[in-house]
Amino acid sequence: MSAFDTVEAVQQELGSAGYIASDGLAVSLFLALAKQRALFLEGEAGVGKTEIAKMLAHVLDRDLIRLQCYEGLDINQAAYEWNYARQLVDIQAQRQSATNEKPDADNLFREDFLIERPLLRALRANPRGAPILLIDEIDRADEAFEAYLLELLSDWQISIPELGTIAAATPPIVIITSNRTREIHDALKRRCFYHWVDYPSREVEREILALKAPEAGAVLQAQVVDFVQTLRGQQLFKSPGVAETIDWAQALVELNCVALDPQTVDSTMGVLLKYQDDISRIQGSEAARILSEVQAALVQGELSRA
Amino acid sequence: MIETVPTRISHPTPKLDQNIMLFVRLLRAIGLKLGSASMLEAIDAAKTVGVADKDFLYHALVSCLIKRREDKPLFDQAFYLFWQNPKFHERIRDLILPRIKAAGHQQEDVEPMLRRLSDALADPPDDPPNTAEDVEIDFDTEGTAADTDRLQHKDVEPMLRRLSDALADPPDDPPNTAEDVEIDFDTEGTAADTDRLQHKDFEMMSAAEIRHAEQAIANLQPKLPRRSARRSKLSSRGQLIAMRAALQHAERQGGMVIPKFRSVITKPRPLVILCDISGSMEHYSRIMLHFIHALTRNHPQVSSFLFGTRLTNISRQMRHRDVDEAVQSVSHLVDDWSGGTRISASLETFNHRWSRRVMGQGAITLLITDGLDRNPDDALGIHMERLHKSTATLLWLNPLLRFDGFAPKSHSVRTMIQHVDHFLPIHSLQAMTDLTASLAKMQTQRDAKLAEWQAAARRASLAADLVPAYAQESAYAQEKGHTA
Repeated sequence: MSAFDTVEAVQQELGSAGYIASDGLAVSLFLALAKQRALFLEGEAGVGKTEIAKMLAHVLDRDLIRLQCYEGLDINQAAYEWNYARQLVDIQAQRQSATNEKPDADNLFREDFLIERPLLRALRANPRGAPILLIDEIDRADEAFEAYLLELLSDWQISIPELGTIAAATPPIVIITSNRTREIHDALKRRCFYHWVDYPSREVEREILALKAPEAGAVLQAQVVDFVQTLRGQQLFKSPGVAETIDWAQALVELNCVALDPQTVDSTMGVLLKYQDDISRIQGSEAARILSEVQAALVQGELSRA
Repeated sequence: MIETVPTRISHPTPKLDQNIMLFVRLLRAIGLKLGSASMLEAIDAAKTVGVADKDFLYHALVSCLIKRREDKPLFDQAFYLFWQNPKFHERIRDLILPRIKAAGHQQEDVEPMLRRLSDALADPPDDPPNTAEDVEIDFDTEGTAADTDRLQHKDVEPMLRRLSDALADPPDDPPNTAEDVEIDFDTEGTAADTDRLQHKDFEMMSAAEIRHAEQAIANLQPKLPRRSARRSKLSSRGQLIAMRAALQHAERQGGMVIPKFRSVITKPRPLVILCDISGSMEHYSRIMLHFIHALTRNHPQVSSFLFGTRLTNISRQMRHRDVDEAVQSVSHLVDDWSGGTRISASLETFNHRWSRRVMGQGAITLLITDGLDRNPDDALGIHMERLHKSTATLLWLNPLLRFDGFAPKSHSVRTMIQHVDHFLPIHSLQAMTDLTASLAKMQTQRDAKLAEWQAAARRASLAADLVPAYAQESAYAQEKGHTA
């Protein structure tokens, strides 16, 4: 079962929904769908890892079930939890109705006392088809949680000690993302197709901007992309991602800016760079220098095309 | 990256299985860790995607066979060599599959690349790889600065070396690394002697004493700092109510709900060690490696880096069980022993490339250096500040602190001292033992002194900022005069 017939179809469908997928990403995604395996996306913050899951849900018209990881995430929040209040009420009820001295407390752990959390919900049959399960920023959860995922990812089931094993009606489409703030164990990666989401190339980024910030004119888009691409080569503590590029273009549109000029670049630097060290390094003369380079290169390109 | 890998698949599809199998074996030979599951997966994926579009085949193989970004450049080169060139392909097949024809492979190579490669493969390398194990260690330099640097320069040589090393016959003689290291257990280790050794500066030790010290370090029992995790475990003395356990108990006991408790567990903080191996630290660097090894062995999450003129990640090497082999593989890896110091640049590299990957989860950082930067630059303070802000606690371990009269005088030391939480000596066994004991407590007697020094350093830097403008101008004029 696969939602797409070819890799090109993946690219096309995602493209029409507004997500430009590189060849590598499209192939990984195609394989993950065709082989019913999880897709493990690693990359810097703001390169569109989470976005791909949302877009996929949109394109395939499936439910998106999102599990945001954080430190200390455990089974109770990730997979299932027992409804303790109802269990206690149940004990009380049984005790009152019981005629004998010793109340009967059988079946305290029944399926209707189970509260479903994202992982379990993703295994349940869904009228819209197997859902997309997004396990976001898994590097924030601790190692114990990774180990818990192994059973889910290889056999599509969750074992509940009091109840037994719950297997998936149809395996969900799992997308796991990581910002690489720590290394994820090989055992988990082994169960997934791996893809490193890189910063997009100049051409791809321009396409993205044309889709996401069409109000910005072609000149502004080209300048923004070239400026950001140059910044990424600057050994910054945190290079701007695609999300920042889009934010910046949209911010410039709000400011009624038609082309970049040093003052605007300086005053909107906070949209692109999020560390004071980086901002103070780039702001001012360095930004002006990059801008003039970018402008010169663009003019050069125009001339050679003409 | 994708565009630079032109592919021309000249093999018919029925052979695809076999080719991918060969390719996976080639990847294993150059150090990628791939199981047979990955291989089957790759074959399956290649069939699913089809071989009509070479780019798609490439990406399909990438997503099955690459589990770490660092492996990618190596993979790309291997892919290029393997799928691009039928001749190389055959050659690999000859080498990897059981060899029937021993000699007589005449090569009429056209491409210089292929010639270089086949030369490397045909002739035994100048220095044959010592042992199979040795080779493995060399391959295991995943993600080290050196490794990535080399690969980023698109230098094919190391790759060819690895290939030829891997494919050459393993020599007959058994590993001789153990023989190199003699540990003499003679009578020197008496009680008085041990005590003297405890306080002796590593710099003053004889070779034999160093060996004793190394043994003592191996026996250190470091108490490492822990922090409370956001998880809990069942405990009768816990503070949190364990509903699930209580209800499980109730079910068994027929409805009697007796509260059960959970308590928060602790887990060790990740440890990051940055160790200076420049000329001024020469006498300490070897012993520090032993120290790092001892810490790595006692702690699940230690990332260690050496820096002189450039930064090298040695975490993986240090995880080798045997300390001597660990030290030896590090010495192969690092080529700036006892050179100059570029603390500022090394810290910058660390902050830029590693801090986000290893500083998570409340890491503690040990910075082992004398703080003497040959050519200090203004950015040192910025990089130290960034380092300090990225870590939970920054400890500066300085062997120079052995002198009672130590005072931060040099500009670089004064800059760095402003951004550390603790400042401790690391010149003798005793200092090391004290440190490992106090790591968990994170409070030392020297902190008062540190605060004093920090205040002084801040005053000094403030004063430097307030130097009257005319003084700066005149200095500028002077400089200009020199250059003119």
